[in-house]
Amino acid sequence: MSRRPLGPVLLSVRGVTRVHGTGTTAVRALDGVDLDVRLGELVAVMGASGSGKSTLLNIAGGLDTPTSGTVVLAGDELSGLDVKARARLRRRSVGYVFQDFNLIPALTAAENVSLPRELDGVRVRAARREALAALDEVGVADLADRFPDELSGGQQQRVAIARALVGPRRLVLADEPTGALDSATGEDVMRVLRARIDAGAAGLLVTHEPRFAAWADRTVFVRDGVVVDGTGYAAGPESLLASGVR
Amino acid sequence: MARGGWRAAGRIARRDAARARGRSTLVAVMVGLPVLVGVAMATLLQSSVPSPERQVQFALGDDAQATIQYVDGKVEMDDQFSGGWGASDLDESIAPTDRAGVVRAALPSGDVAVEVTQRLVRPVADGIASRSRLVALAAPAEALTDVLRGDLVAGRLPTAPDEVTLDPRWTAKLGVGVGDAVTLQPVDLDGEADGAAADVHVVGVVDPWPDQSGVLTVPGGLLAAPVDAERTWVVLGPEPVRWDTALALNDVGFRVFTRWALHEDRPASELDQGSSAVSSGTLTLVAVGVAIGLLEVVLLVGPAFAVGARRQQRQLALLASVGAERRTLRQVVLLGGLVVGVGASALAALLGVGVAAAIQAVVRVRGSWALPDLRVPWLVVGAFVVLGVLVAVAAAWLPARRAARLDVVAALAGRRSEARPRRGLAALGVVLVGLGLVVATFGAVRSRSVVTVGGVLVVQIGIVMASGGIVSLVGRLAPHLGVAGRIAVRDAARQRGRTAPAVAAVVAAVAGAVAAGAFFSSRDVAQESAYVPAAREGIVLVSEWYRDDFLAADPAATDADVTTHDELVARADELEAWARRSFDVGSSVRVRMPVLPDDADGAWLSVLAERAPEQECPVPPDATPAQARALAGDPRCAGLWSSTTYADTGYITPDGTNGVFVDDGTLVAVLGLPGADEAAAALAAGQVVVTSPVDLWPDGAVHLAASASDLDGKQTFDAAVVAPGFVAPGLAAWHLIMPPGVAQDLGLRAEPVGLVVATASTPDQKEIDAAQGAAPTYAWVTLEDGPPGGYGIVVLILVLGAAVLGLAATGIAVALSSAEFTPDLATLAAVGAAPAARRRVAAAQAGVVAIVGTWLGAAAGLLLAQVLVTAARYDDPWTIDVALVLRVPWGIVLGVVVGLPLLAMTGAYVLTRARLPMVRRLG
Repeated sequence: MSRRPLGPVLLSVRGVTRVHGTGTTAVRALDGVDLDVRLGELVAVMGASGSGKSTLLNIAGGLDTPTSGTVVLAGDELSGLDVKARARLRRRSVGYVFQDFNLIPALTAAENVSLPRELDGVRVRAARREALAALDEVGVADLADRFPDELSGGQQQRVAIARALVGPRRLVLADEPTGALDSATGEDVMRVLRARIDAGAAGLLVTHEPRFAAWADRTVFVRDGVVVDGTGYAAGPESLLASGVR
Repeated sequence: MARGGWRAAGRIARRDAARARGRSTLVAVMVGLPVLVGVAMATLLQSSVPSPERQVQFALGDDAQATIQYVDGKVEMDDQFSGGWGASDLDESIAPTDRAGVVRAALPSGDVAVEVTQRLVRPVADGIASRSRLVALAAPAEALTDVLRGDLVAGRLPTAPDEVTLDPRWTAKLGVGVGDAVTLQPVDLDGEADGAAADVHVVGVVDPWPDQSGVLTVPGGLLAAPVDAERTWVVLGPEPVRWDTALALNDVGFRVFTRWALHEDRPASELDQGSSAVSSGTLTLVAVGVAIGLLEVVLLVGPAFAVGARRQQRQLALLASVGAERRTLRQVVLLGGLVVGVGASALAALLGVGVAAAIQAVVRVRGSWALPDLRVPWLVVGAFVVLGVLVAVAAAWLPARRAARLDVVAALAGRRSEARPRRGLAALGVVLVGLGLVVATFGAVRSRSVVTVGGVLVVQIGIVMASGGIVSLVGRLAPHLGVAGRIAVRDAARQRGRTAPAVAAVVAAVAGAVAAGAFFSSRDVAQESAYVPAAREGIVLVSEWYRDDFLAADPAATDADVTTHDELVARADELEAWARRSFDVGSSVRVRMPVLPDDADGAWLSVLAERAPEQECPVPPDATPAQARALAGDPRCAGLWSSTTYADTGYITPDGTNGVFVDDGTLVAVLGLPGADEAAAALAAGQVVVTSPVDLWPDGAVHLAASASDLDGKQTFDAAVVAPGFVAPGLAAWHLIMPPGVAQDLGLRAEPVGLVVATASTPDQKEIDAAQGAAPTYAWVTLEDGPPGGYGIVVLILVLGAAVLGLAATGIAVALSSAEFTPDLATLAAVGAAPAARRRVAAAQAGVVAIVGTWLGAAAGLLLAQVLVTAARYDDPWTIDVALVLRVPWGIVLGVVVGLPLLAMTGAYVLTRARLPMVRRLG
């Protein structure tokens, strides 16, 4: 199968170091990490517990700040942004998907998805329209008015993906999005995520499991805060089905 | 962003409030209760003032256009509906006989003026005229229906001059009904008989509207009013009495109350409307008092929001992850306060109005006009709602600020972020406590209540600020405790964000209860020690009601003309006969007091024990308050600026003398007071009994001086006697008792003015009331039953209230920490802890909050009580209430500091599930 050409770099991480604590208790969670993610690309990050995967994700989305190094997201250098500007960036450019179906229990599926847009000042109706479109793209438009506790785990994670990519957002940061799902539902969620990336977004996926990492265009391995290895562009599991290999 | 953020925050806050029903209800009750009580009280207060329509109905009935009264002054009405008015001198008065003509000439054509005359009467029962006077109105029989200002509840209206209607209270009092005859004695404004008493027939009973008379008759006959009697003209007819007519009548000396006032604004008035009777000092005091109350509510509601914010932590972190700014996180928590505050306040306001409406309806159904109509002060109700909302938002403020500073990454990862100790805040709190105490004590000593209350407020705020620091200090105890205690103490110290508000709430509740409890106990003890009994408990004292003549607001209600020996003895005989009928009399002794000899009748007698020069209070005549205060507690100055009530037996002579008695020892022996037997022996031996050593001269004698002067100040009597004295402090209520020989030496008569009755069995208050009911109208019966009841019930209610609030705050804190504690419990289980460990940890967590809160609260409460006691002690700038010192009610304090934590710990232990949670996912 021939791979689609990738778009321009959306996320660029250069020489990022993150140190927690000071003195003798200092812990180097990330140590000089370099990473690019392009539009149309899904990058999987693998590594043992405590290797720094989640820290990388938090820094990439502006939830955490690096001790040194630069992160450029959609042309904006994150270290040059204040708290407010980073919040704005999370509303407009990047969306998170967590293991625990990070939906706000007091809001319906549609309201959860429209939340970043509403926070950005978009009028309720317009935000809802965008949310319904996003839910439609992940195949749960008919569940728009249900509350999270009325949805299955897979459905909740689809809603979370829709929220991560609603409006102009193009980067999905997914932290073990399939961790709390059974394998069939996990595959289903990965298929949805892959489809959204192929439609023009970019994604950084933290996972323990190679079978989910296989959905990515490439995988980077992190150990003790350092990127130790990176695979080339994999063909992806669907290519195996397409070529008839058993 | 701003609007979108508010919108989203509002939606989340609203839904959260609906989802967390228990917590929302708790907050709603705390916020709503003060609003409910405030609104109900404000509504009842407003309802107690009749509306303009109701005032018109009371004064004019359904048909009359106006009432007009001659007041012999140029009348200026105020421009309110209060009926306030003033009058200035007229150039020329109108003669009584011409007044009706002037009124009739001024009225619009078609209207007629019915003349109503007014007369004061006293009903006479058993030959004795009642003390109270009634206003009897007389109007032509055909116009009585239009003059009637009340409800005819029985019989009919009078048609002849010897017929009357009476007020139902008087028919009951006199024991008469429709068809019975009563005697009415017309009296003048001084209460003196004015014409012959009239025997009339009761033909009806009229329950009068407020400020109206129920005694109606027809002019003429025995109750005919004199020419210059007060008259009112009731205007009947189709035409209203407009302002021009009213103002014209005002100018010539008539006061007009017209129905027209309902239809058109009254003309502007130059009359001084009078300023509010409430001083600015009182207002400030009330304002600061309200501020303290609000602070307490905020402190109590705060933890509930803190709990909410902690529970919402992950949700808030998720909001931050989708791009919510800190402001939005703050808004979510603040709006939570707003949502519950608005809902609770609005509902409470409605309930408050409902409660007031129910009370008003019940009062009306029971026939009282105390609350004529339900009048809701909507502006005040609105203010209470706003206040409730502000309280809720204020309570949510700190939790909201904390939520905005949330560590998003830690919250998303499910890690508990640990509060950094802010030593500065705790230190500032300690400084504020000290500063507040200094300020409050200064205000207390200088009798400046506003400063005192302000200081108390600062102390409270200081304690709250310091509570976090104190919790972390308690954390240092951890190494010395068992596992459960160590976990609880460390957890409380590390998670001060949740512990401190709960501790502050317990402190607020306990401090208030302990302060009030200690203050009231101190007052009780002081009152008890200052109480001067007139006799041993169970003795009945019967005095004659001359005393009331002098104390009564209405000086006309006198009966002082009973002064002759025969009259006084006849009364004493009558009293003795009645006492034998009413009580199981053991012994009964006449109380005798000195009375002026017959030739000095009508003057006021004063009998004093003159002091030796060195026993005079050494205070200069132009003493400053400070000089006077310096002498507080000096027995020579006792009573000079005394803040305690004057001890009195209640006996008084017809000319107003009190506190001086004549006795040969018989009376004193019956009293049963300490030292009474010795005093009785001294009296029998011819000694004068005084109650303070300062009245005794160095040679043991008492120098008595008697004098009297007439109403013009001319001295009509003067006598002095030196007699051997005897001091009996136990008889303090009787002040001065002289033997009959000394009275005789002074030239005074000793006459009976009442009885002291020792009964075989102590009568209860019901028997006393029954005896009073059956007593001659001039008799006043009291039972010596010891010092007045204290504030025990008030203190008990306060302590129970504090217990409930304290337990609620502890419960909230424990519920929250146990929810957060699940992973740690799982770890405990994994390392082999027994299932009961969970309960032990919960109990220890409750113990930490309750112990720190109650101990701190009790300490703060005692400090506050000391300030309150000092303030009360120095309340009067001229003296010091020396009897009032802080008495710590140890029972209450121990009950609070031991009982409350035990209760909280037991509750937490029992209500916590014993099963330990399983580890679901590590890492």
